[in-house]
Amino acid sequence: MIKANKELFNEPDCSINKAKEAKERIKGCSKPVPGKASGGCAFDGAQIVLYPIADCAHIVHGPNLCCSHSYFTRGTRTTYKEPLYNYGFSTDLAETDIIFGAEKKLLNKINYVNDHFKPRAIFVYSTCVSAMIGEDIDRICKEAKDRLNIPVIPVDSPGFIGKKNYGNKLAGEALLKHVIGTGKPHNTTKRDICLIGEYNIAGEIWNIMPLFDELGIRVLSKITGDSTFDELTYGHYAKCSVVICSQALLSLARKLKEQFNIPYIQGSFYSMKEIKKTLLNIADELQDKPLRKDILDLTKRKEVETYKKIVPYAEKLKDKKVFIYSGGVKSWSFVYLLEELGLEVIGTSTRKSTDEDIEHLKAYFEGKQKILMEQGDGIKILELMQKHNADLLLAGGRNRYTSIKGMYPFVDINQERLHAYSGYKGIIRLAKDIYNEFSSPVFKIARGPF
Amino acid sequence: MGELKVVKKDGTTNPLKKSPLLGATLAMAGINNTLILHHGCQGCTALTKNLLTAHFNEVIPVSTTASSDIATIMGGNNIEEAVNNILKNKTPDLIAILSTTLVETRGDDIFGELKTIKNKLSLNCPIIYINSADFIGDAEVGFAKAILELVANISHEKTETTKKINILTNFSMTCGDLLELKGILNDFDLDHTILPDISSLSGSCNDYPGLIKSSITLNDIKSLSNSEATICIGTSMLKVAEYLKDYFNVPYYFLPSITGVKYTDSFFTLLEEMSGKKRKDKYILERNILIDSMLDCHFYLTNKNISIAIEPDLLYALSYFLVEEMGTKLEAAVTTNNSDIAEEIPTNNIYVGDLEDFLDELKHSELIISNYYGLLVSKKKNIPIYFAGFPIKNRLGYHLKSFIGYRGTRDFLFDIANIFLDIEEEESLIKII
Ligand code: SF4
Repeated sequence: MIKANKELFNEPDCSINKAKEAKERIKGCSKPVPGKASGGCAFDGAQIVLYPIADCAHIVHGPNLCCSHSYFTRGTRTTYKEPLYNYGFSTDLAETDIIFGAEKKLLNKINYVNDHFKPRAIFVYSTCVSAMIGEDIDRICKEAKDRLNIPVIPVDSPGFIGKKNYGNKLAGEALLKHVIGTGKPHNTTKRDICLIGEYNIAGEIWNIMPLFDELGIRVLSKITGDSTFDELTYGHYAKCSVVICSQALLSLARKLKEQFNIPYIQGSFYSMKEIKKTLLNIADELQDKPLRKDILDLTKRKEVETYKKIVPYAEKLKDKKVFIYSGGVKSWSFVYLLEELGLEVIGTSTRKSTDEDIEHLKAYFEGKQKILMEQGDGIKILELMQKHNADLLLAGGRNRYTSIKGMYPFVDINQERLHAYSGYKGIIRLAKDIYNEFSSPVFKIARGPF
Repeated sequence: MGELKVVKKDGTTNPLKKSPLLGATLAMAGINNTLILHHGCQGCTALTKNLLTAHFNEVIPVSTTASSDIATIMGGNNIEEAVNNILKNKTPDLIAILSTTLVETRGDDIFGELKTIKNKLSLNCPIIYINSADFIGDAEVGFAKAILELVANISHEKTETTKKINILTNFSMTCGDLLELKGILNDFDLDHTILPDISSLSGSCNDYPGLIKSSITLNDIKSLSNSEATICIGTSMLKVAEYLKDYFNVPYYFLPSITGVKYTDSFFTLLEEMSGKKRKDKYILERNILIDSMLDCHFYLTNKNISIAIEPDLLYALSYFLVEEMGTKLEAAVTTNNSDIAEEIPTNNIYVGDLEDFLDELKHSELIISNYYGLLVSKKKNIPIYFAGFPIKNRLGYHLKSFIGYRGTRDFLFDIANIFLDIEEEESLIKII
């Protein structure tokens, strides 16, 4: 067993001490409770944001686990032909590296990846172990960058620094510090926007892009779903940024505003109501009156079409009771979406939700008996479903097995979701998926007497 | 049989090996009413659980001490706080603390901490500590280590010799294997303790889990020392068998695998000797069917080139059968730790390495066998892949497949032969067109 040199921790330049400052900056981020905590670490969160950049390589400076348990697992999709995020690069720290340091090893790995995979840029992640032994990834990245002539970007995201959400923010910081603002687009238009916080899980972005295309809105920079490096470099030329369903990257939008004077709005593309609202907000932010009219026309047409297309499913969905266990913006935008489909939402969770999210919900639920559940576990969710005679659970993949154990129909709306539910196409898809759940004969057999 | 080569390079590209933490977690998921507590940051737990859940389609309850802020990085008493929080609504029979690389790097005095906790919280269940940092090896090593620590800390001195036998199962054995194994043992009326028994991960326990469910209880572990003998399946578990022999005088029989004709024959002979009973007729029938299947399949398999990237015990089980009993060639093998069995693998080309090394070695292979991550190699090289090992995230029900005994071997054989059959059919179709 190795004793870490505790003196290292007094070294002002050590990455932990730097991390400490960062940590202190995030007041309000709650500390995980020993024995109760669940969910990913900051490192995991940083990867979620940066992995979708398909022409970049990601090197994990850490022990085997960090990379080997996380690569090739993300649900992000891309149009890029051979996305480099299918590769897991790791320095695979060994005991000797802990004693003698592994900066040379990291440098060699960076060189190797550059030679063999020709990435447009390389992101280097620190992890609990590399940060604790005081590896200076900033310096290594700089050295590598100068020599290789491609961006080599340090992401200081050791797991112990915070939860997944905080890692999202750190990734945003890294983009802001090293990427955004370094490039220039061929041309600009007055309808250039920047999408923030949509990672194209299950292809969600592809449900939204046709709307922008039809409206003549140009998505100059996608941060980061279905993106490549270059478009991120000139994100600061956008006329407005749109933060989609993400609290974590709100800080990035705010800083874009501070640094480059780009106004931002928050939006969601779940539910017809939200799609329309978000698009109109974009038009207002761009101060584009004709666009406003186009949006009204388009959304009207699309709504009619969508309602028509969900008719075959409507009967089975009508008045069914659903509980939503998801955080943040989704907690309310999915409420709208489900009610548009004719279901009755009996409640939703408010974990990871901001005061603003909760206000949305309260206003919407006003006067009705609805459940707002804070952090809950599988057992609590099941109890609640039973008590209120719920028919369906909408939640993240982790609760798929909650629903299976309780033998409830289930649709996954988080990270591991199978289908995209954004845009008008997504609404129809969700109707179909819920319809399928309600059509399955399995539940009757499973619950039935034996 | 070649010498095991270790690829010397800086770091890995597409690692094949998984963490000891994962192996140790899986091992402890085979002991009833255990509370598994990872000591480290929550990220390691989340990533490990994700893989386990994706593979088994079941949730394994695992908690974390969630080391987070600077104070904890410098060492803190998160274990105590975590145990305290969990015991508020759970009553485990055993608490297993599995350390992550972070706390081992930090050099925590975990033993000291546990002592304090035991006194302070007046626990009425044992608490064990397993070093499952990445430095100790891979998931197979972590799995064996967890069981070794369990036996070393929980089993009591021999008080009598019972008719019971201990069966040691290894990391790569599936739920399907465990179910098959239990069926066989029951058919011999052998009283047994399977260590560990992960078969409840097949979905057979239908309530919402708070603690581990398994057929093996703490008392079973305590009295391992009283058993008449141990049967050790897989080289990685030998250390445990040796421990039981050295400390409690329990003799052991070792089988590196129970896949294929030779090893299944040996296994059945052993069970006949131990139980004093003849095998049931159905096993004679099963053997006949397997032999017939091998004759049927050999047209498609003889001299075919196969390459395998997987943990050592499973690598040996599958490659021994395919090469020595079915006549295929093993072009290349990549594995995850320097197990003693590696040198017995029937190829000259065997490495401890990652999937990049594996890819480099594929020259004539017509089929690869690997876990989910092998998919990338298969795509890149345009070679069909058969999924085995851990994890398999893109196939349903693979954790229920069995590779052991006459029946498991037969099913595996047909799976492989059908892939070659498809290839040949396709080729002849192309000719016709
Ligand atoms: S918690 Fe730390 S060691 Fe674990 S995966 Fe996250 S960064 Fe890696």
